[in-house]
Amino acid sequence: MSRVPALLALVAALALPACDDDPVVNAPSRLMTVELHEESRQSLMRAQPAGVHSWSGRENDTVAVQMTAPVEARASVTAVETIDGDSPDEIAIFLDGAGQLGDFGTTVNSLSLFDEPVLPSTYDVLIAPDALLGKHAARLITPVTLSDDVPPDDRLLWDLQPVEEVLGKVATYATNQPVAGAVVTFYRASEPRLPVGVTTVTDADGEFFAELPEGRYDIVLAGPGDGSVPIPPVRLLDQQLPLFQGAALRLEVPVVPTRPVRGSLVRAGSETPVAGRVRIEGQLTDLLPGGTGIAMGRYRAEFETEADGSWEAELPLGAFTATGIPRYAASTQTLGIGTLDFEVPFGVPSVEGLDVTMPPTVSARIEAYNPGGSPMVGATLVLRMKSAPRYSWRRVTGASGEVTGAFVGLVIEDEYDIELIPPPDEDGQTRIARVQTEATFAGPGTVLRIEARRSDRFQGVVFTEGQQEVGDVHVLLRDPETGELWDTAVSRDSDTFTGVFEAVVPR
Amino acid sequence: MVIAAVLPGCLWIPGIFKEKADPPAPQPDTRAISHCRPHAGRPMLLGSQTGERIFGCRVANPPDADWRLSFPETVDPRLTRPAVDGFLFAEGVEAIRLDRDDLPWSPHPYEAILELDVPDDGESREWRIIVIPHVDDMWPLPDPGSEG
Repeated sequence: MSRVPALLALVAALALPACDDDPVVNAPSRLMTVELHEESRQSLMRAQPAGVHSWSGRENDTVAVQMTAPVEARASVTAVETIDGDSPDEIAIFLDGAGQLGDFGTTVNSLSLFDEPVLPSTYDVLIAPDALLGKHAARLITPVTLSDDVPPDDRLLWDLQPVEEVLGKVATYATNQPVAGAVVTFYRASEPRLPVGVTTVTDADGEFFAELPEGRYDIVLAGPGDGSVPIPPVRLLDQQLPLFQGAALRLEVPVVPTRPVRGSLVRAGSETPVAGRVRIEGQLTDLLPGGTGIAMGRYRAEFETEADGSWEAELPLGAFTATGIPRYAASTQTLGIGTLDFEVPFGVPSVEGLDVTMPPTVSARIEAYNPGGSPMVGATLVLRMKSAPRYSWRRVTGASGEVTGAFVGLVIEDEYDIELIPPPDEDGQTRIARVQTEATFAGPGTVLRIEARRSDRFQGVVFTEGQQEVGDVHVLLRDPETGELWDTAVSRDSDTFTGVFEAVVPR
Repeated sequence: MVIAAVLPGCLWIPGIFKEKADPPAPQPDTRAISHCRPHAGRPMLLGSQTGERIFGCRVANPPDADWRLSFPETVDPRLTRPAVDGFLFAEGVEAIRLDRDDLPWSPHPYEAILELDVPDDGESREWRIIVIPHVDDMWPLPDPGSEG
């Protein structure tokens, strides 16, 4: 069934009372933000913020939510081979700029054509050979407006720029020793947070080779992420590349001696070793009197411990913090995140015994209440840590004894986003809106009380600009001021009542 | 052709009111996973302009949902993989927030595979995430909004 008459009939039928019904006007009006997510059966960009909508509070008033029609974006991507004639295995296209829901990536087809339905908007377009993971330089085009003003036969031309050979050598400052195994990455000077996508590694002579379009670049030198080559990170700013007549670029890093550092992750109290991840961050020490004048970035490395919890790293001289991150285990999570500050000084051959103590998790009690104050049994509590590693899990409030309407258990000390999802009623219908709150669990015995608000159930309908109702759309309703999620629903996909959804909003 | 006539205080549309008065109950959705946002199977950037992204799906039985990260081999064998595979970091939830600071540090872009798995139903979805280095953590860069 469709189109304009059918939609109007549907909306009218939902909006107006039947002839033998009394008008129902009994709740305050509400505003809500609606997001729509359509399964991929039609177009990938039917995931969109559909704006703020109002509901009058009358039971029979239907909220009509219109989906924005996508436009066909068409572009031809011209790739550039490397000097050796290699082509990228793939070319990824990333679009940013229409808000998180509109952001997406794809790959061009075998004919290097980009054909995608997208939300009409203005985007930053990143053309990324090898998805930034190889040796081909990406190109950022901004802004690109994709709208239905473009004639359907026209195709945008997105080309990659010709590349030139860039040679370089990394050596130590003053002592001129080659630095092997350094990771070299490039950023356009005008886009200092977005890597070009060309990564190379120095050989035994400290030399590297890359291919880049002519331009100005920031060059970052660092050791691999696992800390296996402990060199000071250095960022060389705003270099014109390639150099005149193919001259080799020379990059210098300060000499910072290293020392072996050994430690373990251990369980607080028992000192039992435990396996996990270790994150090292710190500031290195420039030993040269007066300094080298080379600005060193903060040192970072991250690695897994051995199975027995021990870890060993070669670290430059400096002051560091080691963070021990326990592996996730929801049902038996007994450890929190531990940190240890330490120094690697000049006058010692090694640093030993760095035990990062992992504190125990702490007891917490979260009580859920219905509107009016009675315990909410069978409610779902979703807990999300607000700090890295941001573990998330769920618990259900108990039905008897001390845990009636409550969760009692262990949590890692941290700040949390907590979501209360009320249980459905006997008919499987949700009658109470979700509640989201924040809490800090620090130390044992924290008690958190969450009370749901009285809520109202309403009906809505999802339709397109062509007045066609759309079923099977995931509808998310949020507080327009805080973004708090109130409820979710899926629009019906049936011969009658297609596009209709039912949901709750709090008073 | 639909014929409608508005009567005082109510609306009459043939064939509509009966359905309105007794709307069909929605059929239970038997799909284990659906309506993923962003759409699964496509590459995503994490860390260029957006340091944090929300990944979520409609999951029929949320308590069964596991969220894991894995790390494919690097394109260049001289580069190290950032971490061991398959570490679990969330379960029982329909959506997660993923911040680049939750992921292993690396000086170069790397690939991470985020997987939502509902083992009992044999269903899973994957997102291919290109993680951008944390250069701001090494050298504070000027806030782009403060220029000019």
